[in-house]
Order: sequence, then structure tokens, then C-alpha cells
Amino acid sequence: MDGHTIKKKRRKVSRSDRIFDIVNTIVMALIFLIVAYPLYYVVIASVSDPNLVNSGEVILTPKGFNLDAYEHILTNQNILTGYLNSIIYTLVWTVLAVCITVPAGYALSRKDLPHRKLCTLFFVFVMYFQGGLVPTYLVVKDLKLLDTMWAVILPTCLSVYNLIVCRTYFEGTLSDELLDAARVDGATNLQFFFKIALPLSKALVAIMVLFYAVQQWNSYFDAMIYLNTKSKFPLQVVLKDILIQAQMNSSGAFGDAESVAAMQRIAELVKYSSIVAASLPMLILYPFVQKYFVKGIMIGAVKG
Amino acid sequence: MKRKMAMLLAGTMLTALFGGGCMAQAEEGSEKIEFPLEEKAEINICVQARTLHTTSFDEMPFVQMMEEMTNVHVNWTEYPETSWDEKINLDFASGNLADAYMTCYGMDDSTFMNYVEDGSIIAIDEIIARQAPHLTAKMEQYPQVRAQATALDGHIYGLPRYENDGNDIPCFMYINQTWLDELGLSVPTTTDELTEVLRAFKEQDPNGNGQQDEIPLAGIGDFSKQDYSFFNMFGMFGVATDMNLLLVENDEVKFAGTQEGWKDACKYFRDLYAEGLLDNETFTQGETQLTAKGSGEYERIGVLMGWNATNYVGSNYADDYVAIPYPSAEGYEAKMYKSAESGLSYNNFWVTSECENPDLVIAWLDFMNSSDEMTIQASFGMIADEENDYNLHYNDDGALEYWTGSPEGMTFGEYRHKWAPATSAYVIHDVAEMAENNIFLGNPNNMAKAEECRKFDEYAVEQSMPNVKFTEEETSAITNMKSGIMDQVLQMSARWIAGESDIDADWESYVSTLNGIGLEEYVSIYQTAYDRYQEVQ
Repeated sequence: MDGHTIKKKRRKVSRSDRIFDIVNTIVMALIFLIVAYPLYYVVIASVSDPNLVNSGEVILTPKGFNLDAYEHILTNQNILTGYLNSIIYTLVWTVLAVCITVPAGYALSRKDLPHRKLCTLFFVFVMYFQGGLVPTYLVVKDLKLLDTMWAVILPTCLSVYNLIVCRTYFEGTLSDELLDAARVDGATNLQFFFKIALPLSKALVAIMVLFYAVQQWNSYFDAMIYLNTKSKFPLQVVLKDILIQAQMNSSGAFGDAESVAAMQRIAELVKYSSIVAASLPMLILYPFVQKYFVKGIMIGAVKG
Repeated sequence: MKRKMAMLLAGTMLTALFGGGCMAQAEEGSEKIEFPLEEKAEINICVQARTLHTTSFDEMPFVQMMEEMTNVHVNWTEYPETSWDEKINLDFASGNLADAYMTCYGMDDSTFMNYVEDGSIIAIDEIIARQAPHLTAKMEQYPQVRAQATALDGHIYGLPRYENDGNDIPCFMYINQTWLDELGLSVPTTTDELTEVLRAFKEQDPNGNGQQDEIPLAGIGDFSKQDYSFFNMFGMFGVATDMNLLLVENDEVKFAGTQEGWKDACKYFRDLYAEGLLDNETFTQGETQLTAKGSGEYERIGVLMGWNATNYVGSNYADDYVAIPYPSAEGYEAKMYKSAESGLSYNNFWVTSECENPDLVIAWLDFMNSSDEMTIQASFGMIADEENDYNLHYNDDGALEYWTGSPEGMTFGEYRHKWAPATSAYVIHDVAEMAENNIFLGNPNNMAKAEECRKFDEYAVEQSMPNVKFTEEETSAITNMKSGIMDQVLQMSARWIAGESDIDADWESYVSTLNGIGLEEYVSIYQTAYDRYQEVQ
């Protein structure tokens, strides 16, 4: 044994394997470029002169480098208020949504829940058939929630899809034996939930936070419909207003040419930097939740 | 049990009897409401809060002044401009309606009439006759307002806002005077001279940067907006088309795209394009691309069409450009498009079926229009006095002057919208007249352009198609035909100008295709609507 180096068997890389590797790499690189280039373009366009961007001069590097757009964003009161509102709405909504969805999923996973089938059916039915915009609007109005923060938060804080994901997760993770063992030790239902079920579902909670946070951060329709006061608008609505406003009237007819031209200049300036600004928090959040996300893709799936 | 039911039924019928009686009493012959009211009343108005509005309506000095003078408190519901359409559609669909709606952007007729038909919007002509002497007088003074307000059944449902500042020629031809001076050329008055000038622009490097990057003639070649459409230039050949491709001469409606002038214009531009004198991106670019070309590092554009030059060349170069009368083509008289109803909008104020006291709402509206001072303040801002440094001042001639300077960081429009509902206020007034009579000098930018419009009066068309009203069948017929017709004209014209097709060879089939889509019906519907419209005036 000593003195002899063990000859490792070298696996021969066959020609077809090599060709496959090369082709695979090329295809993957192409796909990567196709996906990455627009993102890269947005970033370089946001620091370039808008006129050059519009005339197609900006391709690989920023031209006319300036930070005017970001300066405008950081000093525009509306945008900053919108940012703050978005953060508040997203935080409150996510906390509320997770606090509702996870226990509900747990409850539905327990086989000894009375009328379990009926409850599940009720939830699933609502997932497919919704009342529509006008009845929902009327309900929100009658609850006196119009033009308040709660109109954006309360009506949509339970997503039945996520509820079912939670339920499936609990069904898979918590076995009947675990429940029996806890009962023998004298645990109540509540104690079982907080001391055993919840600690076992850290991944689930992380996934739920991620799904809900991204959903709320990107949403603008509810805010647009229910909110009137400008100081309550979330970021997405503020940005939408800036970008759309400029297109709405480009003649002097509805006001005066100077204001209109000023609005158009701002819209052009802010077009790309607003994308970067709006996406930034989510981009920051992802790496922290990344590990759970990779693991969690299969989280609602049937466990073998 | 039977007795109880009978009593219940009788009781219900009695209540209905009395209730109905009370309502009937309130409807007939209400007296003219005088302000200020003895008891404070409330009305609910939903108003379009424009992006330029930085204060809420309750805090506006004008609104507070109105409340003092009328003793009517208005509960404002402010819907932002950018989600206005969605929100009012939701209101109508859910029945959650305010008493009245007041907006800067009017609602288009076909949608509006739907709401009238299902009863959400009520007729207000009788109420106006009763309660609004000032509005009535104004509609006498400006018959186009009454024509626009009157629906096909003779009633008034939606009132159009009227604020004319004399800007009735929307599209000017701007030429780079600095380049003309540099090259020693004079302003062209015929199309041949124009070709010479454009050639000189292209070849002689007037912007002095040693590159042949000049674009002699640039434009946006579509029918989206009268203000900047390249097709306005066809006016040089006597075809001053509007964006529906219609002309009106001697009360006769004609289609612009089949005129001889159109054909000759296409040939002229084809030659320009072939020489590289017409921007080859004309038919594919939009405003942002044109602006990018015009306001870059060097001056590049020689001739362009637009509401003003600043929009496309920026404030750096704007002073170099001068508006000139359209040059005439041989055998034609150049005509510039002039709007028949400058400053007139449509369906800006309406009262809904949810309103309990429509007489009060109309009387309140009339009060806002009761004098020049009221309408000026509603639309432009408040008159300054000792305590408040508002934006309207009396100048030495006794005329109201707008805005002696807006605070840093605020545009003109924002400053105007700080004190009063401004462009969202429903007013009927003619600012051009007020400027002439030295009552109010108006918005300096707009008045400057209005003065230029007057210089071009002799070239303007005498008549053009107003915003006429259609019946339902007419609307659906037009909708079916319009896009097909517009597309055919736009595509064929673009192809001829770009030299991709021979105009003489194609002309016959072009006309017959248009007729096949329904051109004759299109023109005759507009003719009927036009004649009907003229009668109301």
C-alpha cells in the first residue's frame, strides 16, 4: 500500500459529451444575455442623458453620465412619501397576512377540525369565483374604508393559494404521532401550535413573507381605486402618475405649455431611474430569503 | 292575520301617497335661489384633482370665499386626474354618485349618453332657465357653448367648459431663422423656395459643426394630434385637414385624403424625401424621438411643425425658430387649419340622479359664473389684497394681470392651481375678449401665441368641423369605418412619400378601396351631423 500511488481511473470525456457541453454553454450564455441585457440597459439608461437614450445612442455604456434623475427622485416629496407609504403598507400587510394565513393553514391541516371539508370547500370556491370589482368596491365603501390605508390592506390579506400551500406543508410536517405525543404530555392545542408546529415551519413563514411582500410591493390597482389623497399613495401609484401624466396632454389646451413641457421632461428623466428605485427594496430582500426560497419551491408539494 | 296585512298595506300606500306628494311639490316651480342663503346648505361635488393641484379643495382661498358668499358648504370628493376615468366608471357602476361632477377633461359623448339613458345623469336645461341667468346669458353670447351643450333630444345634460384664449391655430410652421440669416436666405413663400432653403440647410452646414447632421424638415407623420402632425403641411396645397381627415368649405364636408391637393402634396414630399430633405423617420417616430433630435448638443432641425418650438428643441434653441405662413404650392392657396371652437371642451359638468337639490347646485354654479371677477378667480387664482399676496394683481391700467412671479420651484401651472380650482372649475369666459377689453391679460405664454395666431388669420380656413354630436347608429357606423379609412390613407401616403410605390399608378385603386370601406357614408354622416349642429346655433 505504501509507495504506490493509487491510480485513479480517469473517466474519458467522450466527444459527444464535449459537444453537448459547448452547445449547452453557448445556449445558456445567450439566454443569460437576453435576460440580463434589459436589466443592464435600465441601469445604464438611468444614469444617461435622456435625449441620448431616446435617440438610441446608449447601447453598452452610459452616455452623458449624470445623476440628475436620482437627484430628482431623492428630492421629490411625492416620491419619498410614496416610498414611505409603500414600506408601511407592505410591512403591515405582510405581518397581518402571515398572521392570518399560517394559523388558518394549520387549522385546516388538523384532521380533527369540525366541518373541515366544508371550510376547505368554502375557501377554494372563493378562489375561483370572485364577486368582481364593483361589489368589492361597495363593500369597502360601506365599511367606511375608502381613502384609508386599510382599504389597501384588509380586503386582500388572505390569499387562498398561499393558504393551501400552508395547509399542505403542515399536513406533511406534522404527523399524528407528534400530536399524540404532545397530548400525552398535556399540551393544549394552542401550546402545540406555538411550541411545536410553528418552530418547525420557519421555512414556511419565510416563504409566506416573501410571497406576500413582493405581491404588495408591486401592487398599484387597489391603491389607485380606493385612495384619493395624494399623500397616501404608495410608490407604484406615484410613479405611474408621473409617467402617465406626461402622455395625457401635450398641447397648451388644458393648462399651459410650460407646465406640460416641464412634466414631460421629468417623466423622461425619471423613466428608468424610477424602475431601479422601485425594484431596489425587493432586490435587497431576496438574498436574505434566498435559501428558504430554493428549499421552499417544493414546499406545498406532496411529500412522499 | 289578514287584518294585519291589510293595515300594513294601507299604511304603506298612505306613506307613498304623502311621500310622493312632497317630492312633486319640490320639483315644480322652485323660486330663484338668492345668495347668501339664510341657512347653511351642503352639496356634494366630485371634482377632478389635477396633478397641478397641490392643495386640497377645502383649503383653497377661492373655495372658502365662495362658501362665505353663498353660505353653501361643498363636500368635495377629489379624484386624481390619472385615475379619473376608472373612478367615475366605478361610481356609475356602483351607484355611488355625488350630486354633481366637475372636471377638466370632459367625458366623451357616447359614454356620456349611455349614462344619460340609464338615468344616472339628469337633464338640467329647465333648471338652468330657472336658476342660472348668468349661464343663460353666456350661452346667448357664445352660441357654440349652447350647441355643444344641447344633446340630440334638445335637453342639456352635460355643460361644456369654455375658456378661449384665442389660440385657434394649433399648428405653426417653425423655421430656423438663425440658419436663414447665416446662409443669407429669405423666408420661403412658395414650395419651390422651400425646397431651395431645405437644400441649403442640408448642404451648407449652418450649425457649423462640420458634420452633415442637419435635418432640414422633421415631423411626426400620423393623425394623433392636430398640434404637431406632419400632415398639417399639406395645407400648403390647400388641404388643411383635421385629424378626422375632413375639410369644410362653404358648409360642405369633404374628405381630405382624396383631394387633388393631397395627391400633389404627396408627390412634393416624395421628392423631398428622395433628396434626403425630409427626415426618413417621419412616419415612425413619436414626440420623444423628435425632441431628442431637436434638443441635442447641436441644433439640427431646420423646419418643424408644432404648437410651439420649445417642446421639440428645448428652451436653448427655441428663440432661433420663427413661425411663418405656410408657403403656397403652385396653383394652390396655402391654408392653415383653424379650430372652429377654440377653447371649447365638452361634458365638463353634470348633475346626477343622486342629487337631492339640483336647483341649488345649478344656482351655485351660476354664482361662480356671475361676473368676470368670479370666473377669472375661479380659473386663474385669487386677486391679491392687503392681507394676501395672491397671484392676480391690478396693474396701472386697471386690468387684472396674472402672476407677477411664481415662487421658486413652482411652474406657472402649479402656482395657478394653488389658489383656485383653475382648469377644473366650470367657467364660461373668453379670455381673448377680456384681454382686448383690458379686463384681464391672461396667461402670458398663451396670449403671446394667440397674438401670433392673429397674424395668420388671413391664411386660416374659414370653416372646420366642430365637435358634432352623433346618434347611436351613427357612432357605431363611424367606429367601424374610421380606423380602416385612416389606416389606408396613412399607409398609402407614407408609402408614396417614401418612394415605395408610384402614386399615379395607385391612385385609382386607393380611392376605390376607400369607397369600399365606406368613405361616402363616412362623409355623409359627418355632413348630416354638421348640418344638425349648425341648426342648433
